[in-house]
Amino acid sequence: MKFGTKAIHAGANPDPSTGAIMTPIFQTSTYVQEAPGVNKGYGYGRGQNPTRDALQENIAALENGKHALCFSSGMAATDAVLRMLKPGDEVITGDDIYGGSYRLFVNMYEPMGIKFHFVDLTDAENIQPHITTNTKMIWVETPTNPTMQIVDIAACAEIAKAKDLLFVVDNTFASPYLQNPLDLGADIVMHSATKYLGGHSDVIMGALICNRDELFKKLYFILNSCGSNPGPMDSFLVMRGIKTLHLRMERHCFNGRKVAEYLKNHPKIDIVYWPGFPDHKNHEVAKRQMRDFGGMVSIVLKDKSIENTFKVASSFQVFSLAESLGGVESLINHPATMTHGSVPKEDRERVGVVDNMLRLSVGVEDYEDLIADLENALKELN
Amino acid sequence: MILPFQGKKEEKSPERTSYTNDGHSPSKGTNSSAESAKYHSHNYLLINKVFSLAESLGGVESLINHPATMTHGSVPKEDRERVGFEDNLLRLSVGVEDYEDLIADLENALKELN
Repeated sequence: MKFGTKAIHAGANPDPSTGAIMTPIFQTSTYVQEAPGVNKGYGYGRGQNPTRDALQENIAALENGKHALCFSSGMAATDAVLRMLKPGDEVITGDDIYGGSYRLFVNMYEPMGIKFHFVDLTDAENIQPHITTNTKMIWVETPTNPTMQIVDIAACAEIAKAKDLLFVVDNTFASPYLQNPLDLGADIVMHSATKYLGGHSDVIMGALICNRDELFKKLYFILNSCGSNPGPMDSFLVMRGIKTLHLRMERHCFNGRKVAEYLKNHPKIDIVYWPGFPDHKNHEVAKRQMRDFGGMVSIVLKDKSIENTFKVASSFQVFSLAESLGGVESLINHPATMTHGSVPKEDRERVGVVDNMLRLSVGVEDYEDLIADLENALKELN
Repeated sequence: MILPFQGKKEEKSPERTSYTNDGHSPSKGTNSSAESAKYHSHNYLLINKVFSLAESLGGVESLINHPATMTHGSVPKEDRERVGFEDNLLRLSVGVEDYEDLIADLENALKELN
C-alpha cells in the first residue's frame, strides 16, 4: 500500500465486537483475567493498551519499520533511548539540535557520567575524529532545529555500522511523509508525535520506531519499567491526526516554499534557512533523502536588536507566537528565548541561533494570507 | 460516485474484511487474500481491502455502500427502482487514500464477477 492509504488504514482494523470503523478509545487501567496470568494479551494499562497498539502499528507502517512504541512525550521517547547507555559511554550528536534534547543530554545525562560531543554534522566526516572506544551512539536531527541544516543520513549510517554504533534519527521535522531514516540505515527513528504526526496542536506524544527485535524488547522494557506510556485518548488523537498527514504535508511543503521564496527577496531579511533553496549547503543531500522540503523556515532579520525582533514576533495576525510546530495553524517562535532557551548563548550563537532569528512553522492556511501577515509584521522594522 | 453494479444480486448482509498486510508494509495482517476469498466465496463485496462496507460517507477512509439494503433500505423497492437504483447498485464514498490503491481494490473486487 502507498503512503496515503497506510496513513488511513494501517493498524485501523474494525472493532471485532461492534464493527466500529474507528479505533475505540480503550480508557482502562487494567484488564480482567480469567485466572492469574490468563488474559487476552493485555495485563496492565502501562504496558499495553489496544488504542495505543493500533497507533503503534500505524506509525511503524509509515516509517517502514517493524516495531513502534509510543511515549507520553517526545522527550520521554528520547529519554528511553538514552536509558540504554551506561556511565562512561559517549554519544556524538549535532551542534544544532532541539533545545529540549540538549537540556536532557547536558543536564540529566552528563551528571550521570555520559559524555556528549556536539559536532557540525553537515559533513558526516566530522564524526570520525570524535569516535573513541567508549562511543556508543550517534544521535542526528535532520533537518535541524532551527537552522534547517541537512545531515546525510546514509553517510552517518555507514559510519555507525562500521563502528557498531547505535544510530538514532530524530525525524520530527521531516515526518515520515518526507523521509524514512530506517530505509537509509538508521537503527531507531524518534518522533515528537506532537508535531506533524498529531498535526493539530492538541496532544503531546513521542514515538520510537525500529526494525530489530532485541532493540524493540529493550525499549519496551524501559517504557514499561519507567512508565512513560501515553494515554488512550492521546493515542486516539494522534491516530486521527495521522489520517490526514499526507494531505497536510503536501500543503505544508507548498506553503513553506511560497513563504521561503517570499522572504528570500525581502529587504529586511538577512538570511532565510530552508533546505529547498539550490544554494542551501546540503540541498543535494536533501533532494536525495527527502521527498520535498517541508514547512519549517527560519529567518534572521537584518535588524539585530532583540527588542525589534520581539516587536515583529508580536505583530502577527495569522501566525501565532508559540512554542511547538507542525500543526495546521502557522506558528512563529523566537528560538533564543523559547525553544532553545536552555542552550547557552555562546553555544547557540556559534551555530547561528541569534537574538534576531525567528522560526516559522508554516501551517496549511491560504498562503496569500500568510505572506500578507509577514509583510505586515515586517513593517514594524525601519 | 454512483456505480451500477452489473452482476449477481447481493443478498447476504455483508461484512468488511480486516486490514491485511499488503506485503510491503510490515504491519501484522492475518487474512491472506486466498483465505478471505475462500471465506467470502459467495459474497463478492467482501473482498475489498481498502474500501470498507459501511453506511455513511465523507470520511477520510473510502466506504462502499449497497443503497438498496443499507442507506435506502426504507425506500420501497418499486419507488427506488423507478428512480434508477436497483439491487445491483453500489455507492462509493471515495476517500483520501492513494488513488492507485483504490483502483487496485476496485479492480480486484470486480474480478469476482464472471
